[in-house]
Amino acid sequence: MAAEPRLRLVTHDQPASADELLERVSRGDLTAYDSLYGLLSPAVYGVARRVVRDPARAEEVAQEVFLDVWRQATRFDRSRGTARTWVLTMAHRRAVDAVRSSESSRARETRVGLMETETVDGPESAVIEADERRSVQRCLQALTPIQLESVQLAYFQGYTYAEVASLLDRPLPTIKTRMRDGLIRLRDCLEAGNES
Amino acid sequence: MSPDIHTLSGAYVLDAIEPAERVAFQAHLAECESCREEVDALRTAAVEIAPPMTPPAALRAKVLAAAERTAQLPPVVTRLEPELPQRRRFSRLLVAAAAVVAFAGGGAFVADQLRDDAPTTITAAQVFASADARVVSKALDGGQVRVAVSRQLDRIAVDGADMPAPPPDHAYQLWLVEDGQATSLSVMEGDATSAVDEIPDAGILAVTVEPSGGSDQPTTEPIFSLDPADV
Repeated sequence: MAAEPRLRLVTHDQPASADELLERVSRGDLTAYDSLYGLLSPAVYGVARRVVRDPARAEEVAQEVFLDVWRQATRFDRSRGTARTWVLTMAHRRAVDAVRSSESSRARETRVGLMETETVDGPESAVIEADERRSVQRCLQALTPIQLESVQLAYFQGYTYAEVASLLDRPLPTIKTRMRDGLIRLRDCLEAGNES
Repeated sequence: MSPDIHTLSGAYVLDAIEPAERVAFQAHLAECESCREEVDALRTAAVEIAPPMTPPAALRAKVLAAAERTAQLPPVVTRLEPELPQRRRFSRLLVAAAAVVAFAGGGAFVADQLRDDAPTTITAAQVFASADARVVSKALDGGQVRVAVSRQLDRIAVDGADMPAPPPDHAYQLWLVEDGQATSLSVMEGDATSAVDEIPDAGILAVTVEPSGGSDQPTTEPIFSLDPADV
């Protein structure tokens, strides 16, 4: 039986983490950049598609996000969180900006209509890393209905808390608080799941 | 700053706030460590909300090609910190200020002044050169912005001469942000690379990149923000 080639790069055996890759990207390493794309592009594109919806526009948003990652890799502050969180934070911000700038009020109404039929489940083409997604889903279900609705309307529709308050017919401070409490609960649940 | 600003962390992490309020909250974050920690913690949860999806195969080549032809930003070396009142630096400033005043003919140097009632006789150069002026500078991508506060003159001046050129058809706009409301102070465009205003009673100064001519409200992230009270 032919032996495995001995001279394989060690790094290929153990995939580099997003944080390691981003550090190499900050020094202009395009190979690391390509690997980082491989690692994070489904998550980035997932955010873009869910918020922007139009596939062509979502692709543009994802491309803008990765160009931001390339340009700003030198500015990444590891004391504020992981590379993955940094990249996905930029992805959501970009996606929301794209929706808000391009959107007519009519398009917005249409999206509200669409939302009625939506669940937390992704589109059929979603690549779901089963375990991880299951725990996110389970944790989302642990939110109170108004927490969940506030968080999802903001995250997926790109609405401001004022717009969510108006849509749900609740006072502004209530919605602000529900968004915060919902995220705290989601984080606590995800963290507990990771530890167990 | 309104007392309930802390509860904005959730809306902020979900990008569910108006640009002006975003600017105000970011300014608040700069001085509230526990708020930063909370925002960082909530982000780890928020980024997991959307399910991943396989992107179109063609995207990978586009992304790589774009990176190949794009320069990366230089790392940030300095952070916002007061300049030491060094004698040498001060006299150099005076020379620069005198040169600028001579070149621009005094009052003409003042950027467009949006407050009609504000006297136009004090120039940015005069504020920087004032004996009691406190000056801070902040490094930006490929340049810096400097701010001088003179309580004697009751003026705050922003010097954008060393700021990187804004993108084509864009300009820097200076805002006063207070209680989530942004008021435009000045559009720093063309030859008007500085701005002068009275020292505000409260609020945060912020600079954003806006389309030429300026915007009614900030439409981008501030590249710089500063509480004049900290200067």
